[in-house]
This record gives sequence, structure tokens and C-alpha cells, in this order.
Amino acid sequence: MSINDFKNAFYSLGKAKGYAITVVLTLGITLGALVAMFNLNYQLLAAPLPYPHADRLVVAKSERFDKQILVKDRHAPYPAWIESYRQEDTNFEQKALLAYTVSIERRMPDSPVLNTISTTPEFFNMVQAPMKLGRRFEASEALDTMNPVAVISHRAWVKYFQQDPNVLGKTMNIMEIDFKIIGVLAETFVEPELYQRGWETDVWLPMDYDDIPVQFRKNWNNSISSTFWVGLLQKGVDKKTAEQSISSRVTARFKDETVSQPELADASLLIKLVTFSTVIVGDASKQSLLMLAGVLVLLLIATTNVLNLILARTANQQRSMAIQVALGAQQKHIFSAVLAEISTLMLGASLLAVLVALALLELLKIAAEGQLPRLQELHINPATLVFTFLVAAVLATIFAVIISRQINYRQLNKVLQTSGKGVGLQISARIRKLLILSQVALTAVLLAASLHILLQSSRQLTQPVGYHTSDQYQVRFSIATLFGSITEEERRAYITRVIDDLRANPKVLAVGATSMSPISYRNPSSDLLRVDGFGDKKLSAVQTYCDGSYLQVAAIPLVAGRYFTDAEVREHAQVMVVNETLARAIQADGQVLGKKVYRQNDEGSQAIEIVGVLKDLQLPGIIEPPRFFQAHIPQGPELVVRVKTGQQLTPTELNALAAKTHPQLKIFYMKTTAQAIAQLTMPQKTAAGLTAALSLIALGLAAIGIYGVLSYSVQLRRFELGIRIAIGARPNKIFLQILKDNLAPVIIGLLVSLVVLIGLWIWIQQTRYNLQTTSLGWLLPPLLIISLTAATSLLSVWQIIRKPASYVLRGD
Amino acid sequence: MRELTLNMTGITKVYSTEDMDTHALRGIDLEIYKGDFVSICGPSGCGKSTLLSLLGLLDMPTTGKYFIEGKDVSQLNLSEAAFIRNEKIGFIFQSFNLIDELSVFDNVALPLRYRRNKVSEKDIEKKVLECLQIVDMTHRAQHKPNQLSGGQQQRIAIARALVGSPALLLVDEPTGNLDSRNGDAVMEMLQQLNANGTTLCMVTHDPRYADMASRKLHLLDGKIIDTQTLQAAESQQG
Repeated sequence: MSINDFKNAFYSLGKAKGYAITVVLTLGITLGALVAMFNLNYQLLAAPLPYPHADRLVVAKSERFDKQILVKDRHAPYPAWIESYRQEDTNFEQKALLAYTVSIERRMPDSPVLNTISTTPEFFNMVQAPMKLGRRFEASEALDTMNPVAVISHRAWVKYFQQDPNVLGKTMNIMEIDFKIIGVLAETFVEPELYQRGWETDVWLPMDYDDIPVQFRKNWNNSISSTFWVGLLQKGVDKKTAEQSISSRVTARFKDETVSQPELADASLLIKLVTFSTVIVGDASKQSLLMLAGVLVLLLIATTNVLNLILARTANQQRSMAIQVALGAQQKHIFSAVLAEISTLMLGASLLAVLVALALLELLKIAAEGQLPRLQELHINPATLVFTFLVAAVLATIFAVIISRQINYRQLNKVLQTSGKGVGLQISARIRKLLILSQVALTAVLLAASLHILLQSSRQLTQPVGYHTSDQYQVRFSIATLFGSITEEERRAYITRVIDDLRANPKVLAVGATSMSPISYRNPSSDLLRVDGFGDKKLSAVQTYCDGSYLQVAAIPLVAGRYFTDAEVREHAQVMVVNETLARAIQADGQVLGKKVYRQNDEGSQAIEIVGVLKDLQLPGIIEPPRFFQAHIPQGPELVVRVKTGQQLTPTELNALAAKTHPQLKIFYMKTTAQAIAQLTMPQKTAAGLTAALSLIALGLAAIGIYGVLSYSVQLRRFELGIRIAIGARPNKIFLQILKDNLAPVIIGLLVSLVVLIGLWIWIQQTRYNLQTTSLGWLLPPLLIISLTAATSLLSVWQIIRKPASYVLRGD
Repeated sequence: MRELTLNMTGITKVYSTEDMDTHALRGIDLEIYKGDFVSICGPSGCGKSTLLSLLGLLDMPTTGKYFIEGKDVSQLNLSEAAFIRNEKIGFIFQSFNLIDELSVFDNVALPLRYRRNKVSEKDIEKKVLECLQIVDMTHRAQHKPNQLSGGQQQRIAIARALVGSPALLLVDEPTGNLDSRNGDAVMEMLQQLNANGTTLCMVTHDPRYADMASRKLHLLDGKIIDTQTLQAAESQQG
């Protein structure tokens, strides 16, 4: 290609602005989406974590077995972590502990809720956390030093201290203790997402100040999912070796510590070491690869569209090419000119793609927050730029080769040999039909898949949850140092007083208390149940304590039996209600009323009678786990407060009410039930939104593509249509002829897409993903495509049938 | 009394662009009677193709009147023009203009399939075979046009033009893409058709073939001129 080729290309494209803009926009947008997805997948699957020796950073994961059978795949025994941390282990360069929680700062205005981690000094060293101000934790803040200092995040420094350069030495009051700020982390610090995606820590405290309750600190059978043991393997140490070493020690200690509990005689633990990247990325790679696949299909559709447009343009340029041939141009000169024009278009598309990718990455950071990891690390890097221009170059070459093969060099001079009385090349119908068929098949598959997912998401988002949502709040109080300084009964008494005061409030209709509602922001706890008459079979179920009012305030309907009463709660009656899923797990027909169960976590537990079966909740995108609700007022409950219609409660109001009971009682979580459910269903909504966008883009591209290929097809047949008109075909006959000819490959394309979709559906049935298809999802895409075909057939043939036949024959 | 097949009076055709108006025809008066064999000659750019397009209702005149078998067809809409073209006119093009994807049989049958009143397949078959017989191409009925020679393709084009029993055959440079042997053969066929009563109007460059017609019209600068005026114009250029 020469400079002259590019000059001619620019000039030529300047005279066909509509065509150039369509190609650049179509490819630019889809290539931009591809680049963004490439970036995301590169980040998740290939880019190393931003920590030194990231491949040696590991997290301990404990599995709980009973008689060699896995009963819990995430069992986090706090004492196991502490002991493993304290013990010398030559397999590790460093070890650290982490305990995640939320805390309330008690002196700042509005008592903000802060994401908090208690940790040992090694953690900051292991990830080489950069500091903006001050220092990290040192040996003086190690375990058992009881040194109340704090390191805060850059975000917290900006939000709560307005980037005060003199923040070091200031204090934060958490759990009634003043912690002196000794350091501020740099903005560039990327916190490893080990606990929850989207979690951003505000303040780090020494491990001595974790808020793990006393009774759980020594309990080897209890799992605290917010605690972690992390380590940096020694260079050259095999992960398996280190894993076996730590696992054998922990297993032996577990046996020693539980020897007095006969129900744990057959229980065992297994420790696995999982790399940081495996924990952080988790199953997100599946999601990101799926998104990449979706975008690749979009790009395929766009590429087919663009190819059709370029073919149509080439058909129009035959005369100009013929003149070049007559003047001595060889095949390579024609190819060079074609490549120059396509390359010019691809350059424009690439530049647009980079901008689109930038915008999409920013959008992804907002929309997928909490759902995909490492989002904050997404940026356009050199690898991404190379990828963009490489894809553009490959596409340009492919287009140019395909176009050149369509140009019959020997036939070009025949174009000039006519007397201008209406001679044109008639091109093979096979190529035309293949283009239409492939366009339709791709579009129909993408459209049908997107539509089914969208319809299912919409159904799930709009169906009743099975939980009362209006005029209701979910509230949780922090009791600060009361947790450690008073007995359980006293804590319960404080909460009971708060509940009574709430019930007396004229705005309030009803209050219920639960250890954790099914729509809670926190990870649920679970327990193992043994059922009378079912031998040694144990079932894992989500455990919830609640008072006699909770289930009725939450309005979770009964399918059998009854709720338990406040009186039964007060008398510590051993009663529970279960959900349908647990009922069916106990007994296939779900008839479990009167059955007695024993709980693993409850030492010396008595038999608990099942008195009711609740309808399963229908939370969008969440498979309802087995659940039981036991009659018991928890000591630090989540309250469900139903207010009278039109009434509202504020945190200030509730803090004032709680302060009457004890000044340390403060709200640290308050949302309306509707907000809590909205937060829970955000991934589903995001997926629905993305799918809707994908469907619309697919349809838009389909419309452009089908119009492009049909108008190209009509253009190729222009002369033939002129002949038909000349011998008496009426305009409507021509339109019907075109429609019939176009529908044939469209129908075949739809049949091909049906085969592909059925294959996809069969594959999905083998996976865990439950996709229900509907007749609308099957019928709407072909109907849309057929309507599109009819409309574009008319549009593309209109230019021919509205003119006298002589214009058509002359090629005007 | 001879039957008037077509009649044009004061026909003009102007092509207008942003920059200028091109007067392709400047007041054409023309009568063609049943059984006539009329040839239209003239230099390049004189308006022959335009006149033929208007005659065949492939285009509409800017001004003037045009009658076919007494019916005013001067300003028909596209649908009505197509009807008349289908039923009254047969077209033979210089480049044959057969449809490559259709067989010879289907190419010839095409005008009948566009008839306003549906023609049965049996009648179509009968008519097509009759016309193929006339041009001596029955044995190639299932071939595709690109399997035939130029002369054979032109004969198929003639058969297609005849299949609808048109009132008028318009012939545009029928021998332009043929060698002299095939050209003679085609002209012979056209003469035979005329002898059998078919009305023909032919545009040609070739004076030999123009002389085969019963009437010769000369076109110059968009007007039909008489022979004397033509000779004077030619001697001025000489």
C-alpha cells in the first residue's frame, strides 16, 4: 500500500460519509466492547496480583467432615487460626490473621458504620501496602500487646477526615476504645478481596481488638466465616507440603479439643491452602468468559454486517476498478487499493474502540461492583492497545482478502466494453444466501438466548419474594463493650427493652427479632441437624433464632403447622419451624410435623420438635437453602420493624430510643426491607440490565446487518430486476419476488439457529444453571427477524421499483 | 384500412440535473401501423435509446402524447405501464438480457407469469414450446443461458418477446453482440416474423440491417428528420 492509496481512500470515503460512519460506528462499538471484555478477562485470568510474590500468598481453607463425608466446605475455626499463627512453621516466610467486621465510630457525627479488619502486623508486609502518611503495624502492635492504634484507608481519610495532613495522632472511638491513628494507606493500595467482593476496609485495628465473642474463641466446632489465616510460602516450598503440615496439626488439635463431645467422635477437619488469586477470582472467571463469548458473537454479527456493506460498496465501484484495469492496473494494485480503504476504516474503528472500551470499563466498575473482583485495577494498558490494533489489522486483512476474491479481475474490463445500454454482472446467488443465512443464524441465537435470560430475570425480579417488604425496616444495634462486659441474659434483657420501647412507639405496628434475616447483608451461619429415626444422617441447614413475632412480621407464609409463640420463646420451648426445602430434605414428601431434630452446635442439645413448615422464599437468583427457625431471642438480633402506613423511622430517632436503655446501644445497620432486598438482588438486576442492553444491541446490529445484506443482495440483482420490470413485472410482484427469495435463506438461518439453541439448552440442563424457557422467548426472535426481513426487503427494493425501468437498466 | 398500432405526437424527453437540462427528444411525431417493420437509425447520442425506452414504456415522456392501440399511455403509473408492457410489447435487447439463474424454458415463460390474469401452467408450457419451436430452440429448453452461444441466446430472447403475443416488438441493436453470421440469422428470423404479421420497431447502427426494414427513420439531435435533411447534414460534416 502506498501513500497514494491512502489519499485516494480518504477522498473516496469522504464522498461516502454515510457508509464510512456506519462501518466505523458498527465496528468501533463492538470492537470496543471486545477490548473491554479482553481487558477484564486478562485482569482476572492472566494479570498477576499487585503484590510481590503473589504466587506464594495463600489463604487457609478448612473443610469439615463427618465420617469422611464433607458436610461443610467452609469451616473457619477461630482457635485453629490463632494456634496456627502462633506456631513456628518453616514452610512459611510470614503468617497473618484477619478478622472482618463492621464497627461504629461513636464520636463522629451520625456515628458512621465502618468496615473494619483486625489484623496482625505481618499482613501489611506480606502485601507491601504503600502508605500515604505514617506507618503500618509493627511488632508493638502484635498479638497480646493490647496497643490501641489504627491504620485508615485513603478513602476513609478523604471521607471522614477531609484529607487532613495532621490526621496522625487523632483518635477514633470504636467499641468505646480510643484508637490512635498511626498511618494512612496510599490511594494506590489494592486491598485483596478475600472476604466479600466489593468490600473496602475503612480502618485496620490490631488483632487484639477483634470482636469475636468469648464463647467462640475456644470453640473448635464453631465456624466464624469472617476470620482468615493467610501465609507467604517460603521460596521453593511446595504448597501441598505446607498444606499437609498445617492440616495434620490442626486435625490433631481438633480431635484433642473435641474429645469430650461424643457427637463429634467421627468429625474431622481438613485444611487446604488456596492462593490469593484463586480466592479473589473465585468463579468470576466463568462470568467474565461468558461475557467475552457474548461480545465475540456481537463482533461476529458486526463483522458480517460490515462485510456486507463493503461488498455492496465494491459492487458499486466496479466501473472505477474497470477503468484502473484498462489503464494497466494489476490484481495486486486493486487489492492494495481495497486494503487501503478498509485499513482507513479500521483505523477509525480502532480509535473509537479504545474510547468505547474506556467508557465501558468505567461503567463496569460501577455496575459490577461487588460482583466481579479486581475491578479497580481495570485500565487500558499496553497489552490492551496491542490487542485492539492487532484485531483491527486481522479484520482488515480478512475483509480485503474476501473482497478481492469476489472481484473477478478478468471480468472487470467487460464492464467498459458495453455500449452503456444496460449490461451488468449478475453474481452468484449462493454467496448472497450464505451471507443472509449466517447473519440471521447468529442474530437469532444471540437474541433468543438474551431474551430467555432477560425474561427469566424479569420474572424472578417481579415475582413475590414471600417476605413482607412495604413499611418495614431491618435494624441492627451495636452493643459495643456490653458484649464482653455483661452476661448473655443481660444483653438479651437490654435488647428486649429496646424491642418493648419500639412496640410502644406510636409509629410502629409490630417488631420481630431474629439472629439473621434471610435477606441480611451478612453471610448466614449454618448447623448440622440429626433427625430422630433417620440414623446417622446429618443435614446442613441455615440456622436462625427468632422470637414469636418475627415470622409473622416478616409474613413468611406457612404451608403446614403453626408458628411458635412468644410464650414458647419465653419458656425456652424446644420448637422450630423449617422451610419446604429442609422439610423435603428430611422426608421426600415434606410431611415433617412432629419430627424431632438435634442440633450439632448446641452442646447437650435436647430434641427440638418441628411445629411448622414455611413456604420457601423466592429471592431472585438465589437458590433457597434448607432453613430452620428456632424459638429463641438472640442476644444481638436483627430487628424487623413494621411501621404504620406512611410512617418513617430515622436512625437518629432509633438511637435516641435505644439510648434510653443504654447509651452504648447504637444503630449500625438500618435499611428498609425493600432496600435490603434491592441490595440482595442487585446482581440479578445488573444481569438483567446487561442482558437487555445486549439484546437491544444485537437487534440493532441485526437490523443494520440484515438491511445491509439484503440491500446488497438487491443491488446485485438490480439488472435482473430491471429485466423483469422491462418484460412487465409490476412493482408489487418485484417486491414479493424479493421477499420470497430473501425469506428462503432467512428461514434456513432460523432453522440453523434453532438447532444451535436446542444444543445450548441441552448443555445448560447439565449445568447448575436453571434456565426456564418460554414460548415468547422462542417465538419473538424469529418473528422480529421475519418482520425485519419484510421491512428491509421493501426498503431495499423501493429505490428500484419506484423508478421507471430504463433507469434501472441503465444502472442509475 | 391499416390498423394503427402506436401513435406519438409532440413527444419530448428532458433529463434535468442540478447543472443543466438535457433535451434528449425534441418533439417526436411517429406512427407505426400493424405489420410495419420500422428501423430507427442515427449517430451516437441522437436519442435512439431514449425513444426506444419511451416506446417500450420503460420511461415516460416529459411532454407529448403516446397511444398504443388507441389507449393513451403517455402518463401511466409504474404498475399500469408494467401491465401494458407485459401485454402489448415484446422487448429484444442488444445483450439478450436473459436471467442466468433461470432455465431457457423459465426465461421464455417469465412474461406469462406476470400476466394480470393468471395463466395456467399447461397454457404456459404450450405457448413456450410454440415460441421455442419458432426460433428452433426446443432442444435447449432445460439449459441455462450461459450454456448457449450468443446467437442462441438472442433466439431465446426473441422467443421470450413473442410468448405474450405482443402488439409490437421493440428491438434494440439485436445484432450488436453477434458476429455477422449470427447477426444475419437473427435478422432473417425477424424478417420472417414480420412477414407473418408481427409489427417491429428496430434501433440499429448497421445500415445493411436498417435497409431490411420497410420504413427507415433517421434521428438526429432528438428529432426525426427526413432523408434529404440527413444527407445535407452528412455532407456538411463531410
